[in-house]
Amino acid sequence: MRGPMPTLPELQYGFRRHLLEEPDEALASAVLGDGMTPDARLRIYRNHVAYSLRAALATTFPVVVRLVGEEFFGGMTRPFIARHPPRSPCLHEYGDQFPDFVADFAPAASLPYLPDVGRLEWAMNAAYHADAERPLDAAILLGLDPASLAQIRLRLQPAVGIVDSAYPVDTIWRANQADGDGSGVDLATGPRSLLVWRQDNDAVFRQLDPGGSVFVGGLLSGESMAMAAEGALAAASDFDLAGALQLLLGQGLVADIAA
Amino acid sequence: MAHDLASRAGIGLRAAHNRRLAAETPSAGFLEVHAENYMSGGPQCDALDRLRKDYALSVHGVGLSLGCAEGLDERHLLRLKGVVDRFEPALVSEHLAWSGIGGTYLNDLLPLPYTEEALAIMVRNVDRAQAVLGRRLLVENPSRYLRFAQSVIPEPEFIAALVERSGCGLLCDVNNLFVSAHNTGGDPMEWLNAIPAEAVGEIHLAGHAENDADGMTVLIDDHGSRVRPAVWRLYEAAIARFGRRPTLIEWDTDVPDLEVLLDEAALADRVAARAGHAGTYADVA
Repeated sequence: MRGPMPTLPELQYGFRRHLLEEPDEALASAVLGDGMTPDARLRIYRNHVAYSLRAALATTFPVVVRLVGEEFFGGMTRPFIARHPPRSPCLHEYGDQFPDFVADFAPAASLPYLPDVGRLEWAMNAAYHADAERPLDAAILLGLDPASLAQIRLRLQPAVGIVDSAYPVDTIWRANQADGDGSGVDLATGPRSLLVWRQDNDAVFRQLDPGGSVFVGGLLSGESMAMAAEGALAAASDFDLAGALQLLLGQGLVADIAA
Repeated sequence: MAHDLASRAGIGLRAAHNRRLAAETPSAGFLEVHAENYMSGGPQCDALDRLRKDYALSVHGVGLSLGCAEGLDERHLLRLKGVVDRFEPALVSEHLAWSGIGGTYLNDLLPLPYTEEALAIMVRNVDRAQAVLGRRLLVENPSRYLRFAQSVIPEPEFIAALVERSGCGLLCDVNNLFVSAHNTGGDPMEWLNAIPAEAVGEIHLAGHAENDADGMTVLIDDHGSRVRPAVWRLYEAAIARFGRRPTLIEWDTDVPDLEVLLDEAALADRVAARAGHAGTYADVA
């Protein structure tokens, strides 16, 4: 016999449970079989949600898929989706927690670089979807006297990010593109600090030296030029401030001078 | 200036076709985009800024969750408004469905029970969306794979009441109508006759797949193939009943060459022209 009919909030929370956790008996009893079992009808939705969210993650993390294979990837995404379902309907924003999840996923422990490959793919995904602002005219910086130059804070393009890894994730990434065969990677050639940004219609990256990495990281966290440069020099005595600024300005990665 | 919409068939805009559409501007009634793909900026927004100079646009939301019992996600609604304000589409549409609850987005167009409670929630959410967007929303009938025991209102009556109480328009998805009737019963011809024709602002056409579930054939609305013959017949009946309407060829999985989409759109125009001469729905039936 059927119980009392659920209210709409009860029904929707039951449906969410059914889709992300386990079959919900109360929900099944609210569904008509119409020649099938209610479970078989609910399974159509369950399968679609699982399939489409896994596909969304595979779109954002294609190199992770290639490194572990479709089946293993499915084994990672199933528990990830249950624990971290999307919070927004914009699926290109889904998966920021996936690299950390992969780092804690015991069956993947034999690929210690896998979380960082995921972090690189996430940073590239974010760069691709970021707004592009008009780059700051380098002449404006050159016109400042040294004292003011030291005190300003540079706001970088929203696409700019840094990925640090103990492994050569750039080499791994390149070896696992469509035209790569996955070979030629020497894991002992790490570590890497990669600057990620968008160039026209593509997310791109290049390696930063240790000082450059600290400098750009400082700018990203809102430090003044002087503070970021001091941090960089403390980390690497050969830090080349002019070279780092040239890279940022040359690629149009400085959006503005922050107030 | 935004382009006006003719009652001609358009195509869904896929990133793979951006370049050719911009370079060759083949004739199409309009381009339809999924709102969620344009909410963050990025190259696809730049591409759409260019394409809207040559084509009328339709913005189709898939994530607003109009049937959510807890009301709309205001942040998402504002992002939708941002897309609508930026691209000035001729049409804006969403779904008679829900897709999230409790801050979780489930990425599916989930079914509502057809009850007074659900109707009141839909009306309240559509009212809110229309107030924020400052324009009429077209609401699309869902593809359904189940019925709820508690449903007491036939779907077309539910839809007619939603139109009357919220002032929304309708997006009549003929493929969804066909798929739902197969999966959950009901007569699609009666359905077409029971919804308010004047509210229909757009029609969707798409392919569907046939799957086996529990030994029964279930039709899956996968938008992955050409429009099926039975759906073309239903489209003809819909045009005979409503008159010509902007019609979209939806193709979201295994997206084919641009030519195939344009070919389907041209076919839709020919079917619609024929239906326009066929007289009333009663003659066609």
